Amino acid sequence: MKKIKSQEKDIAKYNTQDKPNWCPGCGNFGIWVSLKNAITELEIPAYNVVLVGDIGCSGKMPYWLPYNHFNGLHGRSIPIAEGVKLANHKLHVIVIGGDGGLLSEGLQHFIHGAKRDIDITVLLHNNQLYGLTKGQNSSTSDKNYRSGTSIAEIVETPLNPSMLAISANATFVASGFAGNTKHLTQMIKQAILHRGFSFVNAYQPCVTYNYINTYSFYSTKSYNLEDIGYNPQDKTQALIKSMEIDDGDKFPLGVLYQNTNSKSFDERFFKNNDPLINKDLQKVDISASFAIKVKSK
Amino acid sequence: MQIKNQIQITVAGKAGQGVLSMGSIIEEYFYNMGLYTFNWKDYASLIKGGPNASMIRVSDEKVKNADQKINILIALDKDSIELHKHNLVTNSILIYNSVVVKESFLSKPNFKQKFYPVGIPLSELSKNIEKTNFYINTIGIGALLSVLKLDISFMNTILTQKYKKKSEKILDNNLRALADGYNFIKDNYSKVPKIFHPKLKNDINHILLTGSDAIALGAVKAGVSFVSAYPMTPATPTFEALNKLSEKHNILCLQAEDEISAVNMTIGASYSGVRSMTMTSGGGFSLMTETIGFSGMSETPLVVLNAMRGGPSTGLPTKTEQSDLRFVLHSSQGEFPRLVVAPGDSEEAFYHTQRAFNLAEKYQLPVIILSDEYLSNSKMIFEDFELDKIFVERGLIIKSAKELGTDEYRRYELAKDGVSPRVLPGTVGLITGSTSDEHNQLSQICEDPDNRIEQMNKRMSKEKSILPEIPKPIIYGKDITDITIICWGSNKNVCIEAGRILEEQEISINVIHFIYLYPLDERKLLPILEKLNKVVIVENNFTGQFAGLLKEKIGFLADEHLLKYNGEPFYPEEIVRFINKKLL
Repeated sequence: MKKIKSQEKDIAKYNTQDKPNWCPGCGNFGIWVSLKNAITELEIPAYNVVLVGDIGCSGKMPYWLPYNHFNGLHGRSIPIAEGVKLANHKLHVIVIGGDGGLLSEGLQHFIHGAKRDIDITVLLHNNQLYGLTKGQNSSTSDKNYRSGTSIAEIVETPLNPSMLAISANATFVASGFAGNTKHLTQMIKQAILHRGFSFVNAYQPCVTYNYINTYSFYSTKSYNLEDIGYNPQDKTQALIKSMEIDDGDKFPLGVLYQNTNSKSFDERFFKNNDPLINKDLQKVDISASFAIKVKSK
Repeated sequence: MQIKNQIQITVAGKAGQGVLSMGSIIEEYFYNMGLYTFNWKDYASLIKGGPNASMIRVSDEKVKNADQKINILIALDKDSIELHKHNLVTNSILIYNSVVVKESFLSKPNFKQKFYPVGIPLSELSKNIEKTNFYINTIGIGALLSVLKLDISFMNTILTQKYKKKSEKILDNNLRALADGYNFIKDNYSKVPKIFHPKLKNDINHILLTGSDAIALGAVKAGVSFVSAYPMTPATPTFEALNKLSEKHNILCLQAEDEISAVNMTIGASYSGVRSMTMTSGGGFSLMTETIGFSGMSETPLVVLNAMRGGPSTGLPTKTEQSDLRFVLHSSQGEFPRLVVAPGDSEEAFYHTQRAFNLAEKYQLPVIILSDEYLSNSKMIFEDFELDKIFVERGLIIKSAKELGTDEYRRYELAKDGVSPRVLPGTVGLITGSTSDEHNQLSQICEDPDNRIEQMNKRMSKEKSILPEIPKPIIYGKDITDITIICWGSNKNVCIEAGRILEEQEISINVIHFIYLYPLDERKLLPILEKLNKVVIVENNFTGQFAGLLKEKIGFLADEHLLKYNGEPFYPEEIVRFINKKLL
């Protein structure tokens, strides 16, 4: 687990001119509040936080938070975040993406990100459809969800994000719900403190288009893993537990899996803990880096 | 002046027979003797079996490009003789494996020219050492030195350095193979004439580098700290060269899951403030294009190497072409400034790669370095780097709130030259943001029409403000001549050599070579181009892409176009023939 230095407490000022333009009641508000709470409670100074945004309703979130942002291309937020982190691993780097960006357009980055285990936090805003483009099916849409782009008689089963992450060797996997900000805040805090690739699947009701996965859907069907004395260290159990959502009836919330023994990519690479950003570019001496023949007979 | 004292040695055989390593050993030998070499390989997209060739030009004068004419062919198999015999010049020497090739095959009508056949039972001699064909290449090297009547002890030293790490047995066997090849020729072919009489020079500092290595070294000197790539021929050797240097120079080299990931990690690292780079060929560049535009829009410095190969699609993976120029110029949707740099050889590749990083950071835009299979894989010798002429220029970076004078930082503040200072994330008390969406000065998403015009104008103005940094094309020869060859990128040295050959025919000719291909500075180019008489533009592509660019941007029309797209680089004779036929 990471230690946050206490002298990093002075929060920088920042003008966010605009306020979120999500639909009233959007699940994004709950995630927005939880993320702010998590960073504030951890006393991480704003200038050391980088939010890497994807596209869509959730992708705009970095604009409305007082932290550094790098809003990239659809689906590419994970590799961008990995680059940001490896260049300066003192930063806390958080990916803000939806099910479209992280599980369709950029699915390969999600799987390889988990495999690579660079210390970033991936916060999935899982509304189970494409919100900003008006409700088309996504890779996590409920099998009964129909939109303007679905084929009526074809039923595709949704991808299971947590199971994917665990099977790809992610070292921290948790689920939360936008309707329970107190719990979601705890999940994000634990994810940030975890050293390695941490993934939080936040169920986010889309009040405009998603007529299946509503606030009441998750309120009735979700339960807290802590309440059943669940042990997140056992990977096999975690895989089994992660598959529970596939029937569409029970949604466990909490830490599904955490490997506290492994060392992240950056811990292994930066042995002396000196970030790449500190390299003195003016003093690169290449004279011994290539063969040169000095002939003097 | 034409190069007088030179030979071309071609080693040819099947992939897996050690042809390419044989080429580097021969090259290293001459390099250590103080001669100039140019080594190019022609290889197929497979690991074992297909035809491979290593072509080493050697001279006491500078040789900087490939030639077709062969003075000595070492053919390890019969197919290689068929493949290369038409390039053997009169009085050349053919060293062949007499176990697999009958002497009768070497007479007319197979061969029209006069040459010296030198048969040596390579496979038999190798099997005498150990029951394998493994040593035929080293035996061939021994035969070569014997035919050239050169010192063998020097080669012993090179082989010892190369093989002592492997095992004593491998080293001993190779030294024996060398001696066996040498002695066989000495005992059986003592009457073959000495065809190469180089003058050896002393006290010169020489560097021997491939284009790939030179690009890697340029990046290292620029201070590159993060490299991410996905393997693709012919860009991979640059990635591997950087990885080899990574520990010494504190560079993180990371192989990504695909080119999209590689280029996005690269831009992520650049946003954090380190110098970063990715490399690929046309196919991978296709996948990277969206991020080229992202770099343009977010004004995040980005350096990408595209080592071109024959296209389109999978194309010719191991062959050369210059057909991605138009592609890199227009890659990604929308309009934004970019810089395209195409060095002419290893030496230029070093300096201009280093400079690419400066320009990417100073002007906060994508810089595309265009190499090709020929430049990336060919190895040449040049004089020591002038390292004191290289500077790291990082552009405007604000390091503290005190320096900014306020705590309200505007990432995209309007600036006359279009360049607004950067703040790197992690700067105490300051917050920064960059984005792919159209944005206002505070990097907030913004669709306001007036703001759009302001930000577009800001970004596009960099295309003008960078012009003072763009050097004029270099003129080789007199300023005013009857004929001018215009070329770009890796065609530089072959055009210069063709020009020299034509000058010997008392033809008034010069060569204009472009390294900086975009943006083009009309005010610098017009005075040069207006003075030209007859002009031929030489390019390795089908459509004359650079000629089209000159026509579009400068309104310049050439008289002739010499285009080649068979996967091979140009050879001097082809250019000479074309000019003799079309322009005289």
